[in-house]
Amino acid sequence: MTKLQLIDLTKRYANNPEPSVKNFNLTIQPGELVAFLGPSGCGKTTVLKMISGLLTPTNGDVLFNDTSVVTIPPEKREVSMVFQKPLLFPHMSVGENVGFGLKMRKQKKKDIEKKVEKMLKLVHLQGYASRRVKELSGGQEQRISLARGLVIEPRIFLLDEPLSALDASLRIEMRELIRSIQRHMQVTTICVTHDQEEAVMLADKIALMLDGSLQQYGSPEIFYEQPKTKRIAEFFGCTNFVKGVQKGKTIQTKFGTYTLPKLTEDNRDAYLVIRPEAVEISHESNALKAKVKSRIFMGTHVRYIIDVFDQEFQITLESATVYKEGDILPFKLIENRLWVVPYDKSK
Amino acid sequence: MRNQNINKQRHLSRKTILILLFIWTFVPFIPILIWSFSLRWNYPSLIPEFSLRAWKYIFTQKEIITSLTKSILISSIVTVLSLLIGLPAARALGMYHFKGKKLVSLLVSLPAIVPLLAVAMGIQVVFIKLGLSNSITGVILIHLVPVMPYMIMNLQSVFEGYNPEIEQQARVLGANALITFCKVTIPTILPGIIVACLFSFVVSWSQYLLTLIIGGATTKTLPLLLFAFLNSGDYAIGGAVCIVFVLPALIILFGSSKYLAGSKTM
Repeated sequence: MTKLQLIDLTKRYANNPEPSVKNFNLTIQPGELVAFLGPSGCGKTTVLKMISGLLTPTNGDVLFNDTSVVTIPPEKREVSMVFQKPLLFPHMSVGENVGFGLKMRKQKKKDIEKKVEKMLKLVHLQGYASRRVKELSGGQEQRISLARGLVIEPRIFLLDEPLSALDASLRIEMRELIRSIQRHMQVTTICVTHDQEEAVMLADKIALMLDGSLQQYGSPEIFYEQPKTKRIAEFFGCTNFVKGVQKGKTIQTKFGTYTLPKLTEDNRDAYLVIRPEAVEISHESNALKAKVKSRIFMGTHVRYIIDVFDQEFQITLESATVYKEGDILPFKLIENRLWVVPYDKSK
Repeated sequence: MRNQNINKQRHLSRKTILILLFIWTFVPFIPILIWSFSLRWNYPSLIPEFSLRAWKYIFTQKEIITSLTKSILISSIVTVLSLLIGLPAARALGMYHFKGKKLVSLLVSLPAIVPLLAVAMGIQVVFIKLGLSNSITGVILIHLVPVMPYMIMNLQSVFEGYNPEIEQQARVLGANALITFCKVTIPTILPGIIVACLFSFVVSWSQYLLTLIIGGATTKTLPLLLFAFLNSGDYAIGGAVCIVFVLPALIILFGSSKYLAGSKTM
């Protein structure tokens, strides 16, 4: 198992004054599955290609178990990568495709066959070795691509949006497959995605990237409960922010004053972050009053768009609530689900 | 299962089309074939008098063998040259976006649109000055003019369907740059290259006018000879030469048919 360290990793392209990736620092523990999350063009793929050796960093270092690998060419780095498209070699059979990496490592034909068959079984395509690539469906192709990447037992396994070309039902199936194989093989894995839900469901840890730099790293929960900035909170689906003033662990807003024990003490302008779920109906005398603008039934719950102090909020409540458009909805904030992020002057 | 059924249906309809194409292509050859085995075929007789005269003539006449070899040589060289010129051009057109790409595309296809007779007259004057007129080199060069658009347009579609990431995929799996090129790049685009070469060969093979204008009397390729026989009114020998003329194209076509049929790009 391999520990991966990225130190001050920077990539600058000749035709672009802004670096695509700047000062990227991250340590991934052996056997972890990390999702690189971010909108397209944020530099996720560039980081992957620098780890695999397909791109040389302008600055910084890549360490596998504390040893620098930046001078090692991609074919010797023992990193394998699965791309967005399956990229199967069209002139080879399924078995030859999966065994390609082993053949490059000059392994014996018999061993290759054995390993290929074992790997095909793992991706639920047992007996497909002699098939032609043309006979496969899209989902099968991507599973073969996965098998081909894993059969060489790479030190680091990289996945570059491997699910985005598949349709919804296949995507979930593939996600589960990747997760279970990764658990089984214990290979340090990075999966790039722009889909926040996919990252949360798949990974042990998430690295959120925006504009070429790492914004926050941690377990999926942290991004919902304690986002570092307003942008991160927005990326994870929160749209409700109330301006206020933070004093110590307390924030004062027009909604009231709240004390958040997990907050680092600070005195500054700040936003109170209210996730759509951090709201409940209240009939107490000090309840806040909102006017319902619209009600969207979502099956397991209902999404309301409400108007509070001339600010539009999105909240979700259980589906039994039946406030209609124009109704007054009395509510209060669930204190232990609130969070505070610094005030962002640019927006 | 459903997928397999669709595949089967596709396979069937493809077969029907192939058979129809086969008839379309080969029925016109039936009278030619009969002519080549005839002594004479006058009205009102339905079947001509059988004779091997034309075929004996063909296999004994040195002139025909020479022009056959000449034709094969010229078309082969033209194909190889056009491939070498066409590869980089097609790669650029197929894989990169640059200013004026549409204009370049238009210019590339121009020789296939503009009547070459007009152009050839002008080129001939230049070729005479350069001493290229009445030479095989001159004929090869002039053949390149109509061949290039077919070569480039065919290869362009190969590169449009080619995803260079497949090379990166091979690299991370452990293949160095050279092995990647030989074992992945080339085999991936080979079917397309073969089809493009086939087109080019056939276009060059069937040039008559350009060969006549530039090559004059000295470079007698098979089409030139064929015309001479047809003009002389000897339909038997004309028919036999016709078949000899068509044969290499057919052999190439069938030899590469597995690349033509259903070449799936990524």
